[in-house]
Formats: sequence, structure tokens, C-alpha cells
Amino acid sequence: MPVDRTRRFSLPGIHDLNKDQDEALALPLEGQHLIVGGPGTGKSVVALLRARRLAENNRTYRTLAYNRLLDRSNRHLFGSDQTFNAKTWVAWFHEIYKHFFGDVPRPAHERPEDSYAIDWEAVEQQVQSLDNIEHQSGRFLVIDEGQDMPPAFYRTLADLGFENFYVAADQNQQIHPDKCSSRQDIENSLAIEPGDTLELKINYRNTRPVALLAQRFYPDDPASPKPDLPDPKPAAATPELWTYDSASTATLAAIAENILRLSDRNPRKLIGIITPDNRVREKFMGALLNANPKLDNDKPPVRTYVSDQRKLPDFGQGGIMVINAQSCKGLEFDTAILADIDQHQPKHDPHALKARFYVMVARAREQVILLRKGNVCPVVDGLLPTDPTILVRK
Amino acid sequence: MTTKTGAPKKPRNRRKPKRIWRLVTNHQNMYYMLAAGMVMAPAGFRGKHYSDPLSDYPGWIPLFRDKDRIPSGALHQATSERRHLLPCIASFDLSDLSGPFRRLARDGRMPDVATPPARRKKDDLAVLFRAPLPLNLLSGISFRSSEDKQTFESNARDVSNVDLSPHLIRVDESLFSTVMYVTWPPLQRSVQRQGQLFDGEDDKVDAPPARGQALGGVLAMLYHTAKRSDLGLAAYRLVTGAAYDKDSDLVKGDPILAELPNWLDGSEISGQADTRARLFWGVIQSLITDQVKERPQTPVDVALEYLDSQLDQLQEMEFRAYLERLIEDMRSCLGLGGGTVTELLERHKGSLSRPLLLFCLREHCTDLIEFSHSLLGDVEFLLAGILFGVRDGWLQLPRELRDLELSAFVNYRMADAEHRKLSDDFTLAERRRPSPPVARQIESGVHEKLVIAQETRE
Repeated sequence: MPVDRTRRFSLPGIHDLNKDQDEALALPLEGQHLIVGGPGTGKSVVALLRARRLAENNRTYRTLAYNRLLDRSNRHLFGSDQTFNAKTWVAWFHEIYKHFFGDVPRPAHERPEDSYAIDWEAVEQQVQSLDNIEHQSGRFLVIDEGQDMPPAFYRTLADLGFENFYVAADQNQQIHPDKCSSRQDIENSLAIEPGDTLELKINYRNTRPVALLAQRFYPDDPASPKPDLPDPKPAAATPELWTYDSASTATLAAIAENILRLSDRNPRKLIGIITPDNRVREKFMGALLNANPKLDNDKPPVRTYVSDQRKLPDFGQGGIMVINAQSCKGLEFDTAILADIDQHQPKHDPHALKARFYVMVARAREQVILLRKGNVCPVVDGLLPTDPTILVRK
Repeated sequence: MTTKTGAPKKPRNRRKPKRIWRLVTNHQNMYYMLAAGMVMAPAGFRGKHYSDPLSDYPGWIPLFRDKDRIPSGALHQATSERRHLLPCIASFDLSDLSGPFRRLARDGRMPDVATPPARRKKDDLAVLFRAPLPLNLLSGISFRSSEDKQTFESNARDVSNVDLSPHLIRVDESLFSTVMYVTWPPLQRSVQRQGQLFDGEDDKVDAPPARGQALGGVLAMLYHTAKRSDLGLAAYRLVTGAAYDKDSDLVKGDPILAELPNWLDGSEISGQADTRARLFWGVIQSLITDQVKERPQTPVDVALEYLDSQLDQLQEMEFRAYLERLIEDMRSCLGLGGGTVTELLERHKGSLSRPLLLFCLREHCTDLIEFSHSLLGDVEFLLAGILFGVRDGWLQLPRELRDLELSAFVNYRMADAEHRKLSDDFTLAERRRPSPPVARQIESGVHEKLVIAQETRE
């Protein structure tokens, strides 16, 4: 009989939530609220708990995520005991625009085929032309990764009469910095006093050893405070750095077998393999699909995702997911394996490279494993801690 | 029975009159205490205690008499730390409790008493009871308004380990409005704040109730796993004081499990205990000791560090090599190395190594309860349950693992264990031992048979 790989949804314990999260959860249902914090500080957790509370209170609410992959991942984190009203922000905005203007928003001139590229100038002009705008005070928006939506999106919604916002954001993690919103942009658009923005400062997701490694890659930005280390969590292990495919080390095939065994030891866990590009992604997919080590259970499912893929991977089942670094932001895995770390770009910009490593490492709840081939890149190597209590070289 | 006049004698009501005393706090601290099953000193909240009257007498719980007005300063203090805190008042029936009490006078004097005083003296302000106080004495939680009560009830659903269903939650506006304007805390305490509360006592009482919490976790795990085997049921009956002779024999069959009664009593393990028993209970003690530290380590690291430290002290070289291999596999199964679970269990047999491997392979009690493997014996599973119970403690157990009867029993036992540790004269009627699920099935099965037999006769 195939093993049950269903990932159990569980609410946090009262001891898991810190005082800042308590405060973020206690904000009134009505009004405009902004919660900022670095990766792993539990922004998405408070946003999803807010959505659960709105559902319990029978409010008309919508949770907005940046893309379909994040929306899919949120659905697992929300749990299945309540109906989750969620959409990607673009799909939802198209709906709203159609409701008001009977049409879809005009695409931006430079990228007419990209549904995310909206001509915001035209949209804002259109909104200004409306005479009577009905109040939207009965509708509630919960926005995750709110830094990725443009400032005009917030201004437009405020002009369209939306009043109730709960936005979780991190300025350090903007997907397209030129088109994203800063903390100040969101505060200005939603008329939030800077002093009213709540900051989450303690690492919530990661174990202490993972958080210690993540701190080594922290890109200093005062807009999102550096997360403090979390308290220890039950079964934590020190992050590992494995070298493979050199004369004295394991082969890729052996590494693939080890990954499958790791998954087999706990079938409900989700392992994310984060790759620098499509070439490495395909290489690992191939190695995992070809490997057939002796396992206790049936072979774990190996899934992948590339942007624009129609069928989305299932976050509700344990197994292995291979994705590119560009897609990993906002996701959460039990174990994160950073494949071929020396291939990550941009090498000429150590700050950006560090930020990328920070985001990748912070995806892991319990364990991080770094993989490299023999061809060491000095820039990447310079970022890695040498202290064996933070990163064990295998 | 008759009286002298021949009239039937009324049965005497033996129940003592209720003596209700009140704790002033806020809704967030209340959640934490409900999850922990006890009113604790601030250190027990592991950095999440919001200032309230518990902060004033660390390790002691200020309780106000129900007939008295609450000092306005205490109410103010309970909500002073953050804007969103809601004041709440927890009522406790202390009629059956005797133990380390002190009267707290308005001028700050704190004379010793054995029970909460029945009669109020003119200058009495409150009593202090040494923490912890078991939550099964909680008789109600009061809020100022229906909005506050509703918020409390609704927000409790955000977390996994707070169960409000057994508790009476009510609105009593007058408790919060009809207050007493006296200095809180009394002046003398303000002067003492920098020093010790009572000679030499502060250090030992304001500490996390690690042993009590560990005991609560172990009792819960033994309760929930009792149905898996005869040995499980025997161990459960033994720890709850309802053992038959054969139960004791069964438990004594394994040298590690045989030490369980000693651990429950808070005693040292017996002098004749073998190396494996010494190592297992040494890990347990290390886990508890670490929880008292300001910055505890990861439990797996604590276990590994302890086992590492024991290597040099082992006389038998063969056993030393065995322990080295075990430590290596415990480490490797957390990362990319390590084999399958079957390979690990085949490499390591016995009631020391397999529970320790499971300790690394699974995270929480709920994970262990649903784990099964054909190579895992009953005693190995039980000992793993003990390790997991100590790691999670009662605090981390989700609502699904907290039955009503089990909670009342465990709350009492946890507080009792903590007071024993402090050599307190703590007395409270023991709560009824809850029947584990399997016993209930058997009992209901017997009942069904009786009903069928009766129906057949009719």
C-alpha cells in the first residue's frame, strides 16, 4: 500500500507566536495595516491567520498572492477546514477592473503579452474619471508579499473605495525593485502613519541552526529589520555543505540516492531543491528520476516547476520539488537543498548574491543542505561561513 | 441510620464551601497558562510573559479574595505592556488546597500561612501562593465586556494548544469597575524589588517548571499509547497508581523501563541500573536541565552532547564502540547521509538506541503516535514516547491530545511534581485517574455484553 504523504496542517502553538506576532494578529479587522519583516519572520503566517479569522467572522475577504505558485503554497498553509478565498493579485485586479469599467486594464506598451504589465497611468486616469464610487467598506483584502505589487495598485484600490487592507511585506525581497513598492510607498498609498507599521523581528520559520546560517547572508536594509534568532526547535540539525562529482567525493547519482532516502525517512516532509538555472534544474530532475535506491516506501514523487507551467505542484504532499531560485521566494520547505551553489549569479554584485542566498536558505523550516561541484567560485566561497558549528563540510 | 428522635438523618454535605481567589492578568498570559496547565512564574512563559501582578513577586502568585475589590494598579499593570492586551480575572477555588501561602498586607509584610485565610484581616490585601498553581482549580475567567470575551474566544482558535471548552468564561463588568485605590504592589515590595523576595528563595522559585512540564508530556504519551500493547497499559497503570502485580513485573522486564517509577518519584535511578538505563535517564535529565537555562539548546543537540560526554566514562570498550556508532547515525539521519529507517533500526537494536534514533527521525508527540514500523518493539515505542513527552512537555501538546479528564489529572500531577522539587508541603485531593482509550473500549465492551445479556433474559 502506498505510504500516506499528506503534509499535516497545524496551527502554531501559543508558545510559537512571539509578542510582535500577537500584536499583528490583534489589529482590528477594519482599517489599513502594514506588517513588515524579513524572510522567515512569520509574515505569511499572520496574514493567513488573519484570513482565517475573517472567514470565521463571515466577512467578504480575499487573500492576494503575487503569483500562482505562492497562491498554491498558501492554500496548503491555510488548512482545509475553511474555505480559502484567494487569487493572484493580477487575476483579481482584472476582475475588479472589469466590475468597474466593463473591460480589462490596458497592458503596458512595452510588454503587451505580459498580463502582469498593466498600464497603470491609464488605469489611474480612468479611476479619476469615475463620478460616484461605491464604498467597499464591507470588503477585506489580505495581501501577502505586498512589496511585489506596484504603488499604483495600492493607490488605485484606495481610489476605488477599498478601506480594509492587511498587507505583509518585506522590502528586502522585491522581485522587480523598479516596479515594486517600498515600505514608504505602501504607507503613503494606504495612509498608514509610519509609527503604525508593525515590524516582525524574530525569525519564526527556521530552526536556530538554519537561522544562524541565514544571518550570514543578511543584506542590511533598515526598511526590514534583521530577524533575531529563534528559540530552539525540536529536531534541528546543523546545515551541511556537500561536494560531489570530484575524484574523492560522491557522484551526482549517489547524492540523488541520498536525497531519495532522506525523503523516504519521513514521507510527509517536503524537500525543495533550489537550482540556479534551468540547466541545473533539469540535471537534478534527471538524476532523481534515474536513481532507484532501496527504500522502505514507494519512491517519493519528484515534481518540478517552471514559470508559466500550467499544472502547479502540490504542496500538500510530501516528496521532492525541484525549482529555480527565481521561483522560491515566499515558499516554505521542510528541507531546502541549494544545488550547485557556485553557479548562482550575479557574481559581480556580492550584495545581490548574498540577498539571493538569504532568501534561499530562509525557505527551510528544519534543515539546509548546500551542494557544490569541485569547481569552487571564490565569490560564493567568500560568502560561506567557515565555522563548522554553523556549516558542516561533508 | 436514625437520630435520637427517630427521624432519618440527613446525609452531611462533606463538600467544603468554595473559597474563591482571583488572579489579575491579561488574555495573552491566560492563553499561555491554559496551554501550560498551570499558573507559573514569569520565567515559565519563556520570554512571552506580559507584565502583570505575577511580575511583582517572581515565583509567587498574588491572589485576591473574591469578596474584595481588585486594586486598580494591578488591573492597570496587566494591560500596561501592549495596547492590544485585554484585562481578565481568573477565579480559583482553593478550598481543597493547602501549601506554601503567605498573607500579603497593605504595608507589604508577608507572614507565612498554610492555607488561604478564611477570615479577612483589616490590612489584608492578597495572598501569595508559591508557583505553580494547577489549572484544574480554575473555576472561571471573567472579562470586562462581551466584546473582550468574544475576542478571547475567537483568538483562541488561532492556536493549536489552547482549549477553552472546559472553562466557564463570563462577563462581569463590576469586577473591573468597582476597584480599590491602594498602592499596587505594596510599597515595601517596591523597595525589595532589587533584592530577594524572601531569604535565598528567589533563585529557585522563578524558574521554568521544566520537570512538571516533562512529567505532563510523559503522562499524556503513556495515556495515548496505552492502547498499543499490554506493556503500554501496564506502564500507564503503574504511573497512575493503579497497577496490578503483573503490571509491575511487565515493566520491570526491561532494565530502562524498570526505572520509570523512580523517575516519576523524582528519585535517582537505582544503583544497580545498567549502563543503558543510566544513559537513557541521563538524556532525560539533560533535556529537563537544559529547559531551565535562559537559552536552551535544541533537544537533539542536548541528547547528543550528553551521550558524547559519556563516551569517555564508559568502561566496557565494546559498549563504547556501540555508542559511538549510535551517535554517528543519530547525527547522520538528520542530514543527507544515513540510510532508510529499516536500515537504521536493523543496525541498532535495543531499547536504548531505537528510541534515541526515533528522537532524531520524528519531531513531535503527534508524529510518534502515528509512526509504526514492524521492527519496533513495544518497549522501544514506549521509551520513545517518554523521550518525546519530555521534549514537547504538556505545553506543546495540541488540543487533540488533551482530554478533559487527562488534563485535570495531569495539571494536578505537574504542580505536585514542581512543589515536591521545592520541598513544599503541597496538598490537594488527587484528581481521578483517567481511563486510557483502550480501557474505555474494554469497559464499554463489557457494558455492551451486560446489556445484551440483560436483553436476552428479558
